[in-house]
Amino acid sequence: MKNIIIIFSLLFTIASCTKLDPNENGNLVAETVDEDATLPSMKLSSTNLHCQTFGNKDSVKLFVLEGGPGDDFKYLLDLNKTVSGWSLPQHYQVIYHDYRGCGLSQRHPKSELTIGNSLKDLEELIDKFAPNQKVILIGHSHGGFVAGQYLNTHPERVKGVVFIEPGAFSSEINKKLPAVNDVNLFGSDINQILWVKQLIGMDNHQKADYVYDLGRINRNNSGRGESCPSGNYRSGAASALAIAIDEVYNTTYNYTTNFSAFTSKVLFISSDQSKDLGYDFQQTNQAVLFPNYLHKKIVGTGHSGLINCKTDETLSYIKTYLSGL
Amino acid sequence: MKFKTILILLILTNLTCYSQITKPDSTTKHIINLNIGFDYNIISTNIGYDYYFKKYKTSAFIDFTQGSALLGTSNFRTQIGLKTWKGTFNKFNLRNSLAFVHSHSSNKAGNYDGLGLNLITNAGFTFNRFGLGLDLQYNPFFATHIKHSDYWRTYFYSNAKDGWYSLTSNNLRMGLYLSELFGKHKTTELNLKGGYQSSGQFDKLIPNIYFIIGINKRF
Repeated sequence: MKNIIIIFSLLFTIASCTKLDPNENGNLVAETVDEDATLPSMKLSSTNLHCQTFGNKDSVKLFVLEGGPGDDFKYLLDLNKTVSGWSLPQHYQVIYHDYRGCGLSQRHPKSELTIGNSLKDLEELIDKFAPNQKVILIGHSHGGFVAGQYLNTHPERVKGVVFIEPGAFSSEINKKLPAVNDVNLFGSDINQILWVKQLIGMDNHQKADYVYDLGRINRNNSGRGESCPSGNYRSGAASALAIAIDEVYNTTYNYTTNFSAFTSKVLFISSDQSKDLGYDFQQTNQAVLFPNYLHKKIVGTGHSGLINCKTDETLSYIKTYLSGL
Repeated sequence: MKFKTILILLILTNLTCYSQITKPDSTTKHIINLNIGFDYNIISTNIGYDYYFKKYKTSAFIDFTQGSALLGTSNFRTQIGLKTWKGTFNKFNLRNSLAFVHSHSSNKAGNYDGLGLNLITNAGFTFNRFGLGLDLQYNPFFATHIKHSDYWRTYFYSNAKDGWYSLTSNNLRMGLYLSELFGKHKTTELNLKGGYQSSGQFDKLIPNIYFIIGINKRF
């Protein structure tokens, strides 16, 4: 027993001599808006979001919503690109935000990370930037789902919507998703995470976000087609756990009940390579829910490729759609 | 669906520590063992050797673990330590193990070298050849050296700090073991271990279970 105590004392001494604390923001993962006051942010009633705007503040407000949940908006910044002398920030005030618990936004306990709170935060954000105005929404993947939530709840506040391979708008539709992204427990990607998880635990947001980032960097996304490297701020592991795993798969939700009230045209953009959320799934299950829709297919790319590989093509469809509003 | 099926199968089997659980007999000097299962990897393979000191009811051991999915990718673990059967009497079997662990991980994000301990307690009963009991493990990593890759800095976090990090993880395992001795002189043991594993409150994105099947030969 005495020997064990000596060994533990020695190891604790070694540990205390090491310089870096894995639990400190800024070491393994970036600091959030709570710790770094220089980051662009927007304080809402129950959270503080990492929020960045581009373009003229007097222009029509256009909100771009990222995928995940658990991702951040950095990869979407490719949509600010200028194509043939046209860009979104030239014509709109483009507003990006990391959902609560994701990216560089404030961290929360799991109980506060819900799809209901994602909508509530967007409602507050829109009311702050565009009180009593109509807004445009562009949502990719889970961001498309969040855009759908808002549209279903406040159709009168929406001028136009672009859905880029949105997540399922209801739990019933979610059941129809082809299961191409089920985890392969014998694959090298999941095993890289399992292996490193013994070294970096998941007992707090900092370490859990880091491990989740490791999962993203090592992920085999072949079921979702072509992808190109993109920037990332910081994952939100708790958000992914609370929403993507617990809430979306274990509860019932339906944000389609009021889509018929939106009679303006909506734009869907989908890829041919994404085997789950791709063109066929969107056409069969989601686009048809709207009385007035246009669905464009981009070939030769995948789910994230729509943003980061075929950016020009995606933007050209968005440009044409927006000019017709 | 495939994922859920495998998960359910793993939970149902819910069985597993490394190498021999049952106390070696008085003639044993050497023990070699082979273990495979879900041990921070699917499928992990662990090979080890023990030298048994009969007088102290204790063995000194060394082992090596490699995951099949990560073969050739510089992801491995080595342990060196002691196992003792002090406290074993009649049918009650008590095995405690303490090992120093070095685990290396290499992936697109960087290179990791962790130094830690692995404490294992197996408390149960042995009935002639068959044994069962509790399997409790505590595996903290007190210091981990991290060197991030250029790719990580370009696409994830440019200001990530490299160097030695203190107490990066506390891994806990709580499960059961089953063991069976084979052979005329009971010199071969087959054992199964498994149960719940946790590396923290958010460790639910991936299956938090472990499962190891082991065989060992004493001579």
